[in-house]
Amino acid sequence: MHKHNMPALFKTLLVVLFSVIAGTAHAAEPALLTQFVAGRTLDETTEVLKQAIASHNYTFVRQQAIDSRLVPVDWEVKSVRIVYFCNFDMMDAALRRDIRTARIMPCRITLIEGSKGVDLVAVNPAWISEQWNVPDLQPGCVHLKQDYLAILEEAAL
Amino acid sequence: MKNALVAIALIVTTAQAAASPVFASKTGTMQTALDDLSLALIDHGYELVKVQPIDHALVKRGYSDPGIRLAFVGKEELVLQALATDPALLSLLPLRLTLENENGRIRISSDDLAQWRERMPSSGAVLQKWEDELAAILSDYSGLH
Repeated sequence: MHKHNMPALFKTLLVVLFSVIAGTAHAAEPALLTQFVAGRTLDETTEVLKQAIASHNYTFVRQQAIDSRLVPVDWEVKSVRIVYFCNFDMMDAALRRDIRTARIMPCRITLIEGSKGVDLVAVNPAWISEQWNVPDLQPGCVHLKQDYLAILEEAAL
Repeated sequence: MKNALVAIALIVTTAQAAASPVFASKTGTMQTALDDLSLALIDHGYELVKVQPIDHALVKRGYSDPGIRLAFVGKEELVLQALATDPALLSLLPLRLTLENENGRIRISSDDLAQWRERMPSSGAVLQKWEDELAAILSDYSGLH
């Protein structure tokens, strides 16, 4: 009996190993989505970013300095800003599916001004959702990632 | 063979456990939860930067109430730590807490900083510090009456 069970144990072991390997393969999704906007100021980039957000059917929610409300207004870091936006239809649909999607809401892009331009950085929703192990959610998060990329690209034009 | 399977099971279990965001839950309303969270934040030198009332925003536009609000929290030190460690960490700030109404209990959970520690090991110490502070804040939140 014990000997007959050995192949089954090996099969189980293989399934576990393949699952781990498959999970590692998924981890190839980048954690961050980035874009560099050359030759523009933070204010100029913020404006074109807002236009890109609107043109992709998202609603601008607000913008703030990275340390807004953490320091007096006059002391705020002037070179790092956050822009928030969302699409209410997508938000509603995602939350109906799984409450964990709140962790990728609302959309936000961090703008970091340097001497030659502005870096745009966003957390990749498809990377976040990979960890949830809910295959139904992944296509929506990949779609959201594609929207982020399109918005970032348009803002850099 | 048994030992090997036990070892693999432990690795998988540990990996899953490490990927869990910190959270706390207690009876109350969204407003009492936000009041108690604000007190807990102050005790740890944090500020409530912004509350994103997703529930109100969706209901106002004709959608159903998901029973969700977001609280963005932080302190100046986190920004300075991110700038000194890796500017990529700025994309996590202010830190997000999700407030979820579960049949009269308000569950507050953080983003999964363990996932970030795995991806950015060189920033692991900073991320661990942030997670520990959030865990302490949420522990205080659950203990407040």
